[in-house]
Amino acid sequence: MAKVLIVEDDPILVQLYNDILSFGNYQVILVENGLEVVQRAKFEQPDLIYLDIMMPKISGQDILKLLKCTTETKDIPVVMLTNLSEESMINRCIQLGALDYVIKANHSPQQILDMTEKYLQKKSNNPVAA
Amino acid sequence: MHKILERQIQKYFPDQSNLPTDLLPFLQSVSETYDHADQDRLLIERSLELSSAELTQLNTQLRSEKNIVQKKVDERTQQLVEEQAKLQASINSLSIGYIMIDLNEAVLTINKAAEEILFLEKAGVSDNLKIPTDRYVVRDIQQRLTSIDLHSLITECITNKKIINMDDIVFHSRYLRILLSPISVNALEETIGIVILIEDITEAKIMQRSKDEFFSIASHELRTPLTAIRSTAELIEMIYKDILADARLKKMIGTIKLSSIRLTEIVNEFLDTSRLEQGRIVFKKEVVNIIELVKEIIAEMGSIAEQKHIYLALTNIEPIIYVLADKDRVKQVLVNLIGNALKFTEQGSVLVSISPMQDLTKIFITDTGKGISELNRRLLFRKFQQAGDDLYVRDTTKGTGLGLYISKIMIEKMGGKIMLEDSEVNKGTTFSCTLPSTIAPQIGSTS
Repeated sequence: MAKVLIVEDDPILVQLYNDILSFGNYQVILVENGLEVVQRAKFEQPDLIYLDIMMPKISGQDILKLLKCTTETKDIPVVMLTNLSEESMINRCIQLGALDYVIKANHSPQQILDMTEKYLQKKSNNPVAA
Repeated sequence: MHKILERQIQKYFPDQSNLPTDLLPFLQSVSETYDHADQDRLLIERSLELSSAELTQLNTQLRSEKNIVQKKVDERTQQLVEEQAKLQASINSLSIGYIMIDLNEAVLTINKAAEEILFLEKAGVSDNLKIPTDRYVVRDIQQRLTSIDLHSLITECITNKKIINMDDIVFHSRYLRILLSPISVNALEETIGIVILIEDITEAKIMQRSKDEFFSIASHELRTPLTAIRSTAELIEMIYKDILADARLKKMIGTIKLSSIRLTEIVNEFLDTSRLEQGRIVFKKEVVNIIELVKEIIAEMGSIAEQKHIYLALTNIEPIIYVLADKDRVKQVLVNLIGNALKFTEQGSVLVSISPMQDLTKIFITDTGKGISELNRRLLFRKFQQAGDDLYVRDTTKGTGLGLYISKIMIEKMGGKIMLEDSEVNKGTTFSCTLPSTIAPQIGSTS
């Protein structure tokens, strides 16, 4: 069972993504505090991370930087979650090594499941990450 | 005999009996000459007397007329002074700064608002309405208003005889709007000077910004709970398929889902509007195969057309026409235009045709729908407008009325134009939009 780590501070959305991905038979790890992400990712070694851009205390962009410069987590694919659809922020995250982004309001649960499957396939096809 | 001649004869000829007789006719003639001279003198004296009386009369008349004219001049002068005072008072009571200058850039008039806005009053430059020309020139104003080149603007305004309007001029942490307008006096439109209007728009800017921010924040905050409602409804449909065999429950969940999707679209339109107006949307320049994109959109919207039994198709047969634009934004505009066409058409067809030209490629969307009346055409691309609705009696269930407004801004940002080509009530409508043409995909571009 593939493991997906979700970093999201809004409890309603945390619950929602948990429901969607659990329904898709993924093992879901929820992290609401941005400062714990790197630690948890190092320990859990998830197959995919969904990372919210707008987080209190530390921004998604900064968490991404930390993940990408940590040896144990740098190869884990990260998909940014955003409600902002702010191109500049998204582009910076893509430059920093994010795999893709998801505009939260624009995707249905089925689309999120399809995308998750696609990202995980990409990962298994990538010899470096695998 | 004339008296003077008699006296002279007595003096020289005391004994008149000795007077030679042949002298008498001569003396008679001399006497007549004297008489004539007397008559002429009398005549001259009389006429002189007459002229003098006339002159006196004329003089009196002239004086009286002069008095009348003087009175009139005084009255008119008084009127002029009063009118000028009124004009000055009205200029002075304006909350907009008013400065009138001549062609030598000397200030002829300046009002209190202008002095206050530019902090000139504190410098003690003027305490009256009228400013003496020699005391105050454009240079003094320029010293305050360092963020613009006033001299160049004045020259430009005089040369082109056109109004120059500048918004958002930053001045001492405030925002000013400055307008320069040439003053023309006669039919030849000879420019004699310039009026400069200065308005402090800081408060209006703050209000606008608050409104924009409210728009933006409200939209963001709405999106999260909306996402949750929509996704949860969809999840229920996915997870509890069996329980939803109950048709009524299925319908209720469907209503929640559709309403939340519609609400999300509305919020997205508000957010798009707000971000477009603030210039916060970045437009990519991609090589897009517009034929392929239209086909993709038609495939996605096909079900709506099928439900209404409307024929939706692309008329072009060529496989490739490239444009240089932001693919996602072009899609958004075309979905809006085709969606509108489907919405306002009850039977017939919605056809898309693309005509490539050297610089711009034009996309036509033609429907056989209800058409747009002459009256409603003017309002089409404005904010919150829908062609079919009366301004005051809006059917809000039909949408925000932002679609065409958003499409217009987006197409223009990509270097094209959007327009209503033709429309006839109950016959149909054709909208078109243009996008920059391009030849072939470049490396690293998407199609």
